[in-house]
Amino acid sequence: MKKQIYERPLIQRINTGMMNKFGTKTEYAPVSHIDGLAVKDLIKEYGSPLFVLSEETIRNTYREAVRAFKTRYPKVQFAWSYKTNYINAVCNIFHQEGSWAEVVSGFEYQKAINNGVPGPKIIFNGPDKSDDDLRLAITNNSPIHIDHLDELYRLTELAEEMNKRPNVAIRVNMDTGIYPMWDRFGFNYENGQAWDAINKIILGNRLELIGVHCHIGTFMLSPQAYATAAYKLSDLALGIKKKFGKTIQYIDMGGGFASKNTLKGSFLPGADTTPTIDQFAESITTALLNAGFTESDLPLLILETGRALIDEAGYLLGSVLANKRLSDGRRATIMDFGVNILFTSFWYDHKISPAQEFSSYTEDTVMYGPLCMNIDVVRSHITLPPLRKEDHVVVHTVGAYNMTQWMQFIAMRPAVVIIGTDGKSHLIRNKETIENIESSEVMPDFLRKHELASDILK
Amino acid sequence: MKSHIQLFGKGFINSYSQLFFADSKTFAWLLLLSSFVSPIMGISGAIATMSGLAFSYWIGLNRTHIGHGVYSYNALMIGLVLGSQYQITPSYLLLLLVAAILSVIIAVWFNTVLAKYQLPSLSLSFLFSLWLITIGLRTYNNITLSESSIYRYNDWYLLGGDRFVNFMNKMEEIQLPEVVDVYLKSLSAVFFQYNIIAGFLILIGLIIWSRIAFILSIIGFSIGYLFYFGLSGEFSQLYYSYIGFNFILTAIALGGFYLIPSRASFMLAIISMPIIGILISGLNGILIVYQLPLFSFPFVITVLIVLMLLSQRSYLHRLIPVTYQNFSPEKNKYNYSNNVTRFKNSKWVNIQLPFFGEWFVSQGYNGKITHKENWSDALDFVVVDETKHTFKSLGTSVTDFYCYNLPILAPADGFVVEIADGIEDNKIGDVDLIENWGNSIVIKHADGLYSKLSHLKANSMLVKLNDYVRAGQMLASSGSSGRSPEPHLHFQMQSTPFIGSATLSYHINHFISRVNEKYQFHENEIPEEGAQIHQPIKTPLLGKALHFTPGQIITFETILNAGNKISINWECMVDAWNKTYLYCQQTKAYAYFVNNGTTFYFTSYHGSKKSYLFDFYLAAYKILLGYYPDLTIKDSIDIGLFNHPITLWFQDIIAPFYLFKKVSYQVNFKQIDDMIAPTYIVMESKIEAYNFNSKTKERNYKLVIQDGKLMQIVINPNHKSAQTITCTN
Repeated sequence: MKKQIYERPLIQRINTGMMNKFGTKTEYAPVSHIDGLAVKDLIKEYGSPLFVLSEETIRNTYREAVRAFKTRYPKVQFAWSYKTNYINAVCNIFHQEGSWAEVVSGFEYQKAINNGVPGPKIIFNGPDKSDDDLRLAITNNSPIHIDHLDELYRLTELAEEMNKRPNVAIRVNMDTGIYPMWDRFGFNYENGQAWDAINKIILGNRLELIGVHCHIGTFMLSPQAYATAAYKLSDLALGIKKKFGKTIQYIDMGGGFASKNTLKGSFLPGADTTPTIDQFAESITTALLNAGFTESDLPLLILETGRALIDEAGYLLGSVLANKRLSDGRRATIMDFGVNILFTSFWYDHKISPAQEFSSYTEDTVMYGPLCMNIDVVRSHITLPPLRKEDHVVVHTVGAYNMTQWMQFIAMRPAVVIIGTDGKSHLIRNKETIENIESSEVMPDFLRKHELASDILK
Repeated sequence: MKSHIQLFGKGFINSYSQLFFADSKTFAWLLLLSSFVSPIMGISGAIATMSGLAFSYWIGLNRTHIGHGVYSYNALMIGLVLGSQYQITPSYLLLLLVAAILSVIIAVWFNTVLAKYQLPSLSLSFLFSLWLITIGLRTYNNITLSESSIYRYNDWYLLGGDRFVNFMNKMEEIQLPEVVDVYLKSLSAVFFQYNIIAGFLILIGLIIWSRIAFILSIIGFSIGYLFYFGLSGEFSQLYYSYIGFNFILTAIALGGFYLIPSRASFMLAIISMPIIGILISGLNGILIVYQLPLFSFPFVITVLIVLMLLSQRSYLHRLIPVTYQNFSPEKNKYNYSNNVTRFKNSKWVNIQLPFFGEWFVSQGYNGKITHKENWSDALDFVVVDETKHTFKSLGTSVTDFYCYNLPILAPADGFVVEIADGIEDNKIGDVDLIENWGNSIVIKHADGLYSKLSHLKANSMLVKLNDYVRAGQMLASSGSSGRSPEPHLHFQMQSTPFIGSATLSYHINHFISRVNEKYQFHENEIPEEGAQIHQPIKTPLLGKALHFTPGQIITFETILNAGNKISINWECMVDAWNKTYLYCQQTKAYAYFVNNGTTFYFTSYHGSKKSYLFDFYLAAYKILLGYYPDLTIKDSIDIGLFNHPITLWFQDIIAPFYLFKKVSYQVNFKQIDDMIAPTYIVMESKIEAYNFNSKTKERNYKLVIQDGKLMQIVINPNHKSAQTITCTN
């Protein structure tokens, strides 16, 4: 007979009667394995906390997205949004699948180059591009997406200086009926800024305008907004064709597709409310196909989807440091991971599953991180079975942004492993060490010594 | 003026080769020479030919035909015959002129009448003109019979003095075996001579022109010879050599000229020989009453009745008529077999895949599930993931299926002639056997050619009945209505306009299949069950660079070994049938090509193989207008074009039965500078000639496309003799 698990006793009010929005009892199942590998073995091997990625999930998600678009539109290209997760191993999975790179800084650009992405397949976005970055992108023939007029002027000067004709696109912002409207990037469609930039580029005749780009927001829950955006970009492309006789080679719809995470304050869980990739594809491609392009002028559709392609492939494994009860009687659990490495817990109510068996009794709990900082709250309310010290949990849907936005603050950043399609785990980023961090520090000679240790008996 | 002289020169020399259906210049000159073995005949023939040409030109007949000698070869024959019978006197010359003109007039009449039946007029005009003149002349006395055929020495003396007389005597004294002697004389009889020298000259010309024709001449002659020996030796020697050429010409015409040389055409030639024998005796029996000569009459009648017979067949799988006449049995054979390999499945209406992106053929032709009986030639498509599943999550709802609600496109231009709509999607696993086809669209592409797309989503129709749709236009969305347990697209071609019509086997024009991450290009094939296929994605730069506008002149420059720079001009032209070709202004070579938006390919090449146009023809023999790295396009090249004529002779001899030579073409994309807005693409092509399976010859090319045009052609790029041809305009 199997040994029964021990759980500490807890007192709970009995809920009877009709179902209510809080549910009856937890429907969580323990998540003891990821892609066939036991959570406790992974932690044993790589330490806790630990980021785990699933190669299979990444590839499947990517292929599903590609399929959704390519079966609706003849020319489609994805470009991996580096800022979402730029661990080289992750980038290379996307590159192996045929995805290009989309970068927003000189640093990311360099990473893409180091990953072997050829210049013309690196899309250079973002408001911050130094002269050196631009020069490099011009030399490599990368498409440069212009964000503001100052960049347009600088790029024109550099083109003259280098006697080259850079491939450029303009980033356009617009009203797609959603709030907030992202008007801080690019040129506005409605007030004519976009046309101003287009006229300047084409009449200036120094830059080769090959595309138009937009990125209407992040974690978008409305496919219709993309249809509006696609329609407005098509209108620009067709207008350019009409006015200048110039064919725009691509329309870049940016990213922003929501993942299955639940935003804080949402009434329903993300898994139920997030539109499918097919719905986004349907909106965008229908708008493009009906915009009025001739078959030969139909632009390439570029997508810079990041979050929706990687979020579900990422897990964070962690362990319980302690349990305690707060002054108001609420139960609190302190984990060995906090907002320092799970940055997205600022805006998501992450789904968290215990990694070992438990009974059906649950309790409302506050989940804190390990930092000695008041803000370090992973979940302010979570219904969990009683956990013991050193129990493990699995945080779901953490593949996007965490491994780029994490902070080395108070604690060091954990290792990242990937579970390959071979069924084995592979380390793709080492756990940070004190040497890593101190290696970039410099100590002036006059600060090298102090006397604190002199009177201590050794 | 110069062009007029050229036209007359061409028409004149071609009149000679026309007698053997040939276009070989060498052969023509040898025939001309052989006609002068009897100088009077030679002169007379030449005068008649020129008269015929001059008349047809003056009256305004088709100049291309004049150039080919179509109207004048009958005049030539008249001239030769009359020259052998009458002395050259002013009145004779007048007669000759009249006879030549008459032959042209009658030739036009016969051509026109027989053209209705797609039959050639052969030498009918010659025969009728000659018979009319022969009978007519009996009432005129001013034309004196010539004795030259009796006193041949006079002629020979005139030609070359004593020496020539002696030479000819010696030649005549040579004791050849009787068969050879008669064979040569029979050949010479084509030119109404009775002379082994003329026969020998014609033989050489015949072999140079065509080995197949030579063999056919032997076959024809042997059977005729045996036929007469078998029956009797009643005909005088002179007479049956005249008759012998009827066997020879018929064998060549049926065995190798009007039909593609093959086992069956040889068989037909053999079967026709006894008919010739009967016709000779039969027709002679009739003509002898009027004392008219038989000449080529049996040949003409036999060829005409056999060709008429062939045109009335229902099954054309053997004895293939020559549709494009190359005036050489070898060229016809090689051209035909290569075209069969390349274009056997080409269709008038090209059908493309009716969807975007990659779909999976879940049921092909003669499928196990529903593609049976009258509906066997249909395709079912779904979309699958890497594990070949057609759905995600549980697959319990139509929306779980990858192929649900995707745009469905018109497979070709046409009218929407039938629409069924309003039938709801089935629950997964359920089928609607009453509305078997579900929501469907039938499009008429041509008379008797319809396509049908079925199981569409209800109320998703973007077109109305009688709408004209363009290939690739969106029609509706995929669904799961009708007999459809899960979402899929049913696609079939049919010859009647109804939903529920029987299927029609029809090839898909172009598609690309993917097996283990490798792409393969398919042209005019039927996708197989289990294939993952998509419509080729085009790269506009390739289409643009290989788009030649009629009137456009492309100029190239190359540096020869000696350091001389030479320039090359190719003009794009279009003929009366809207076929485009490139014409090399320097070498006068021309190459027909097609750019159909998906592929660029050459269909034929004419002219000198030394022309750089020939290099371009080989280098860009067939190019897919979409950049796919690692994709190899293969094709086969006419073996007659990529082998030295002499090395081909062995192949020529057995060509009707077996082709052991093979020339393959392949091209790969090598480089591109930018996927979005490419400006630079490199392709490499390779041409290999094989005897059986051993390679005998290889040539490599590199094609560079830059700045929106074909920039460079590099011949043998990896060899030290590499030569670069660079575009200069």
